[in-house]
Amino acid sequence: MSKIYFSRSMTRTMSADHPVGDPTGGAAYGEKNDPISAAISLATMYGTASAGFAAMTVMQGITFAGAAMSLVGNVTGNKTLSKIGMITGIAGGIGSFAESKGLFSSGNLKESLGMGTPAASNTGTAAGAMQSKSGSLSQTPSTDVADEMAAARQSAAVEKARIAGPDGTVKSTAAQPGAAYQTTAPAGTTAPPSSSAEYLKDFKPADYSAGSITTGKTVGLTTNPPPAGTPQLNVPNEPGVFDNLKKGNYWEATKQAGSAINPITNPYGAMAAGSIAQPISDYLSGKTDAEIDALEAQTGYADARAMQMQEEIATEKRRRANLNAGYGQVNTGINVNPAAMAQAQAGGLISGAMQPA
Amino acid sequence: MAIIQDKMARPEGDDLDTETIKKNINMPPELQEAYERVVIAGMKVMFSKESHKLMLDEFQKEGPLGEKLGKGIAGLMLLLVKESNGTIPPEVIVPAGINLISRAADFIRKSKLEKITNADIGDAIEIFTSTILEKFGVDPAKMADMLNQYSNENIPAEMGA
Repeated sequence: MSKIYFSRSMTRTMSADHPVGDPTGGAAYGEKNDPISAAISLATMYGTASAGFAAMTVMQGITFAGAAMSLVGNVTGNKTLSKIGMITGIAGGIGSFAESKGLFSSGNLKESLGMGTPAASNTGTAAGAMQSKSGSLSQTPSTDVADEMAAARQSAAVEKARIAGPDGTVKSTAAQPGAAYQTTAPAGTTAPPSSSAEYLKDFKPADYSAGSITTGKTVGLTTNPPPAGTPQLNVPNEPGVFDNLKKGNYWEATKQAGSAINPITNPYGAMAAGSIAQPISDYLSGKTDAEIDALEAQTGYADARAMQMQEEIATEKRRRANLNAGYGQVNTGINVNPAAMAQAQAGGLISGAMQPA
Repeated sequence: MAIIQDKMARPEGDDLDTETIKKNINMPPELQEAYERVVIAGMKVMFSKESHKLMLDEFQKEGPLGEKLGKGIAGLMLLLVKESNGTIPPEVIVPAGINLISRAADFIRKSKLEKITNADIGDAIEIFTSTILEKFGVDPAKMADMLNQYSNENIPAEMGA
């Protein structure tokens, strides 16, 4: 007589779904504690107060997938999907159709959550309410990078005009100690030179004098070309932005382009350039974060396929081994602990009675 | 003439694959990134080394494949919603879930884990959608009533039909 014993972990798992000592508990009584049911029950975090709003928003999502649902419905003959797909083609989508059928009970709550806007009320259609809600949920920033850059340039121009000398050029810190602090210091005052030098020592302003954009490690803190005869530091020439672009070294090129914006004359521009450097670099190199994530996910998919294949190979090997051994001793791939079997409880009244005498 | 053409149904016909389904999901630009991120996060959970075994275990359980697939992806989506602390826009849940169902179906088909038909995929999408809607407060019975009431004739005039 073959017997099957569950492991302790399996027994524990089963006891979670079928509680011992609770005759009215368990899955048969609607108490589902298995992992999937528990995950599904997480949706209870959406309280009843927001049920109508959340349901409307989720149903709007169905509208986006309506064509796919309609396609699947038509191909498979699933009329529910076909109907959903068709309703999504109606103006306002399935959300408004459902609302017109009174599917959402929390009408007052919808108004309090901003779904019953005057505009929507004026149109007299649920579609208007859907569209007004959609606007409030938009994740698109109110201003784009171009606007921010334009504002930054304008601010920088004002600041430059304020700290510039009579000839319109920004002098070095040697000529105007603490110039950088003039942007924040009260009118008519200057910050201590030592603080200014401390502040500026980390900057590596660009050198435009060579005719190409470089990181400018060879000059002091001035935007003007050094006078003839000025001693220069002996730093090896580094490739410029365009050199790096040609070589495909996009990250270095982007960094250099960002550093070429003088933080003294255009602090906001430098800040903006620095903040967009990474995305531009990603774009130029052809890999965005999302693409990299997608590649990782594809790798995981391939790994999963490989694991599946290995399992199939192991099963086939086991089958052949059993076949070659004439099934004299079957290897099921399951390890049984004999000690645990020895400690197994004696059979109960029924199973004991079924044992051969 | 009824719009639904039963004769078009091909449950055993050409396989519905991810690409076909993906092409028919039209996300607005402002939700495209969120949608893609949710799909990628779901794929990571389904196919990562750490959690892939759980997915395989789910498919080993008894029951119709469409039901297992639909409920499994619904559980996955709700898990993602919870893990994101509610930052996932609700609009992307159903489209992303349908995308993940098609990917899981592709995996089942290619790995020969089980024989999956177009009808299984249709059932999975229906069960997934009804499960999600139920968890978001839509009564499945009322939803079914609403769909049963639907026909070409009784679409409200103000809805543009």
